[in-house]
Amino acid sequence: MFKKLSIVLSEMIGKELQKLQITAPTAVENGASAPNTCGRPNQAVTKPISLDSTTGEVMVRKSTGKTKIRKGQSTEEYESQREHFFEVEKGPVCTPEGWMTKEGPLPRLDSDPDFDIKLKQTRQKLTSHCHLLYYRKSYEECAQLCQVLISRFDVLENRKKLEKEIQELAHMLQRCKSSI
Amino acid sequence: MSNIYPRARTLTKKNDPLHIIKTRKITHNRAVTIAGPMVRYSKLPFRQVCRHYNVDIVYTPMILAREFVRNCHARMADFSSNDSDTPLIVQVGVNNVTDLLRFVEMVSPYCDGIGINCGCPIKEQIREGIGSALIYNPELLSSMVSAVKAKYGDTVRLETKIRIHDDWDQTVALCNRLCDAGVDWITIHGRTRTTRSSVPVNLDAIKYITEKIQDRNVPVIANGDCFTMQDFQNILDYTGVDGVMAVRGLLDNPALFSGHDKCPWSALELFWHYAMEFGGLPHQLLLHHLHCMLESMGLEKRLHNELMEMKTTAQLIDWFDEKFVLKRLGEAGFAEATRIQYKNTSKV
Repeated sequence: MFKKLSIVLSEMIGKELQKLQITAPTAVENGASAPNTCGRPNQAVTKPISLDSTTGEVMVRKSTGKTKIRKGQSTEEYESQREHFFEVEKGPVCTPEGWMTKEGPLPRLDSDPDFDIKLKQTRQKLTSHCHLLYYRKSYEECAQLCQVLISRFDVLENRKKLEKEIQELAHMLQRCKSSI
Repeated sequence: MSNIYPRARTLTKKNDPLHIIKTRKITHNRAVTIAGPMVRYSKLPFRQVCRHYNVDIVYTPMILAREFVRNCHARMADFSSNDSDTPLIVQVGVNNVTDLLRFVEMVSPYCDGIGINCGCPIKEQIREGIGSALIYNPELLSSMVSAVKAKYGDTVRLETKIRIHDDWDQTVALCNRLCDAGVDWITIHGRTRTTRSSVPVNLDAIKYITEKIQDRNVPVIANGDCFTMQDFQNILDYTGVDGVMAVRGLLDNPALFSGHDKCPWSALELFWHYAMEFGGLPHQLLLHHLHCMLESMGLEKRLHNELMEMKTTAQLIDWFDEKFVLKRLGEAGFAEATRIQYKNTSKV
């Protein structure tokens, strides 16, 4: 109950502060007040105000001079992120040499729902695989992969947005074919 | 039952950055060499290239703690690593103790130290109280250092990279507070928040601050304008610091700490190798790295203009294979050449 109360209180305090347009203090050297900026953007340094030390909620100043609350992260939210990071993500992305070609990318594309071809990051990873094969001059493998990826990219929504990506794959495919 | 998560990576003589800083003079007869953090550019392939050329400690680009502890997509985009990516310092942009403690808990199992960015002059970060804003907020900065050291002690190394104030005594006072808070070492960039990088770094300021905190027994690393080994030696001799961090100099020439005054072709071949092997480096970043290295090598202007016209990574590979002898791992002479390997030898 107290936790909820502290969240509500910090929200209320934040809103009230915004209404009052209290600015986060600046840290001008020697404690002097901020100089008149004559219409130039305010270059003064911001000292964020901690609103809730348990969640990391802070108030900072925007370029307009008004304040903005940077929302905190509750203990529960953090614990959930931490669990996901250690248990699901298994730490940061690990890319030892040879990781890409250890197993082809296509089986994962069909089995892992998180490896969604609609996401730009996923398509970048797939294209990176083609780049590696192309760089290694493994033209046959590269051509095969490019062919499959073009057919999959082709049927996605917003195909127009993917035009550049498809063109690059088509370029590699054509060059590979002529080198085989 | 609560889960047991990985703990901070064990520090040994091989990967403890503080031990390396303190012992390089004895073990290698030279001061420690450090590749500093660069926004966007200190990604894994570049870090690995630096490690081939006498760089002892390498930094990641600044990662925002706030995003890292809240968002798995940010984590995936911001930090990739592998077992050979060590000794590694993860640099963090942060403006409160809670985010920092959470960040350290998540990142410390995968690196050898954490550095708080107190030098970034970008106004968007300063408005958030991040980067060089922190040198004007010594209470917050020292409380962040204290909190981490109180929780982790010597199991996690913590560094702060600061800029100087207009009044150097303010920087001395800040450094003393950081020492009181338990910081493991301090990196000083010899420019103020508003000094442009075209203005020479202020070595007198670094020397002054280093002398004033000498009795604290906390190593000081100098940063700024290190482009050759001559610069490295001059900075050490003039300021009396314990080591030198290069940043822009390494971007042009990752081999500078090996005594190369220009980027060797070997570094470029290694960079291609790692960028392709690890994957995920956006084309524009790849292009920028190659542009910097080739500029350092003195590539002729016409070819440089052609390089900058390359719109995709595939085109870039074609162009390199058309103009140069770009060796791959396993080919004789891979990563051995110094001068640009033109295909048409008449250009050499």
